[in-house]
Amino acid sequence: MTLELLLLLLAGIAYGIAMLVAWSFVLHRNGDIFQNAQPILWVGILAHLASLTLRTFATGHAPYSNLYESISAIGLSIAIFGAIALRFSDLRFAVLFTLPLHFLATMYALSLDSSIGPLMPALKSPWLAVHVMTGIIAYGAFAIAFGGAVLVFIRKRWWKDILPSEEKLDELVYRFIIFGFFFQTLLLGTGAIWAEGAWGQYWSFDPKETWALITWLIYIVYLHLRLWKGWRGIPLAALSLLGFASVVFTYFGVGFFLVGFHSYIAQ
Amino acid sequence: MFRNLWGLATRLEVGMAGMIVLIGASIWGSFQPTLFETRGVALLLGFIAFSLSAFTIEKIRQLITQEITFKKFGSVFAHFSVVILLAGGLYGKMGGYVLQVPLPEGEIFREPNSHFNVRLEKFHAPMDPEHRPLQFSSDLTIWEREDKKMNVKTEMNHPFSYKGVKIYQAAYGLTSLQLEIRGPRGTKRIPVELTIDGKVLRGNMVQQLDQPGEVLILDEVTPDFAHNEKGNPVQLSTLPANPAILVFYNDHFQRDPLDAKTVGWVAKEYPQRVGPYTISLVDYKVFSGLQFRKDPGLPLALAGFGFLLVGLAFMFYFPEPNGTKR
Repeated sequence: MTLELLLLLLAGIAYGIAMLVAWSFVLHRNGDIFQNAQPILWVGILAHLASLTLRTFATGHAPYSNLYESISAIGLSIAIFGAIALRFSDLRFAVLFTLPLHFLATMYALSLDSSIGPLMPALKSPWLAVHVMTGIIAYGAFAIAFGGAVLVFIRKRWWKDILPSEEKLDELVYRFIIFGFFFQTLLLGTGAIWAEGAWGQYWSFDPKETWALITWLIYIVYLHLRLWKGWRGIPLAALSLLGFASVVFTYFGVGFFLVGFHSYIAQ
Repeated sequence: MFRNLWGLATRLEVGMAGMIVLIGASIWGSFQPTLFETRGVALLLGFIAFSLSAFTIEKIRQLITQEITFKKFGSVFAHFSVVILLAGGLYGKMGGYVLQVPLPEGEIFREPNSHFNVRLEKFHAPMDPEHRPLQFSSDLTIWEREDKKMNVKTEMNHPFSYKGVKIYQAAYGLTSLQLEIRGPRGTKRIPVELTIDGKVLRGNMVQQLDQPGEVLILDEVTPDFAHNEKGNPVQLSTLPANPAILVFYNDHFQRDPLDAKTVGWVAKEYPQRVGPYTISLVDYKVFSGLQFRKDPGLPLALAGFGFLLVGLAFMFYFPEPNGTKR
């Protein structure tokens, strides 16, 4: 096992322990338990960052050329956003649902082929690096919004005395969505610029770009309903969950069920 | 009537309805891409563009009479930018064109709209030891007048631009093979033309030999032939690095055309023998798939994307004056 994979394994183990510590909240009903998860999560993040840095030096490009690299980078992004969430008392509960995401992402990355091959000619573009990086940031932010939206649903029936108010949760979900939305817009635009250089068409209704557009449109509906129609609470949380479901389908579903230019996932 | 229509178009609910229909159409279209070519989708996009334009104009009118905040300005700018983006797409579609040209090495293409000539000198597809492609590029000569020729290169991710027409390295493949058949009556060379997807052209599939009813049947072509450790023929990649053709022999073709004997794969340095004949592959020709595209709407679409980012930044990231809450 290479050092890169060892570090990734260490990250996965740290995420797993942090997840168990965070989920012990269900037994103890004490929000302070999240403080114990924080240093373990940071150990995982540092190991993960070191693993991806080694990978970047080994390949000579940012981690985007195959499923192993991109899922690992997305896992790190969610972990970093999770660590930020842990610093805020109202937001820390969201990691209950984001820790499993980056734990699973890291474990899945470990199960994939991590051998290094030459970069496909179509992927040799600086725009692609920007495109993927903006996606990784957007998906990390949307994951925290997803965690917050799940809490809005949970709060309706359970943990009312522990969780922050619905208004606070709603505001936090919104904050992460507007952050992610800006990067999702960048993702679409930089992807179009890359496609124009590689294939001569900035928009070709490739399934992956269509689903990235669907995600963008769902979050547009979310923003309009919140900002101009004053929607709050459960209906908006449901839209946020729908948006994240679209993110997951764009990343995994399209690669497995549909054929297009972004076909490395299906390989 | 128009006023009513305009009033309706400016309503947020109408724009949102258009957006939700677009989400549904996009989901459907991702499974059935022909949907995006239909008039219905074009009409839907036109409707959304109209609704966005009406909404933007109405908001600008309101802004003139009200206090301008970053959020309001950003909102108007972001909505307007989507109109620009869609207009860029429409202008590119109506005022531009695309030509897909599979150009064999040494041949000339006359660009019919911008009136210049392009000759493919050489197609390059370097690969690593495991036959994975490293880059695709074409050496081209471009000219309008015989005395002013230019040697240029187009490669994947770096299209060459001439007179506003971008030349993209879009595809590659084999265009023809040349077989040599040595038999009792001498040696003859047979050109075998291939289709764009690398199959033997129908008229070239059966090649007459010396005796009546004695034929070679040319079947399948592989662009990158080799033998694996067990000695079985394999295709290493889709790159035209070492083409081979699968050949069958039939000496009673008129009586029973299906009763053919497998001769085997014929490649360069790998001839095959059948009866008194030796079959060799002596040469092959590749084509470079070039895409000629003129898109006058591209700068507009890019500007729309840039404006959208600016609009969103103003909407969400600039502090409101006087501490007003979002």
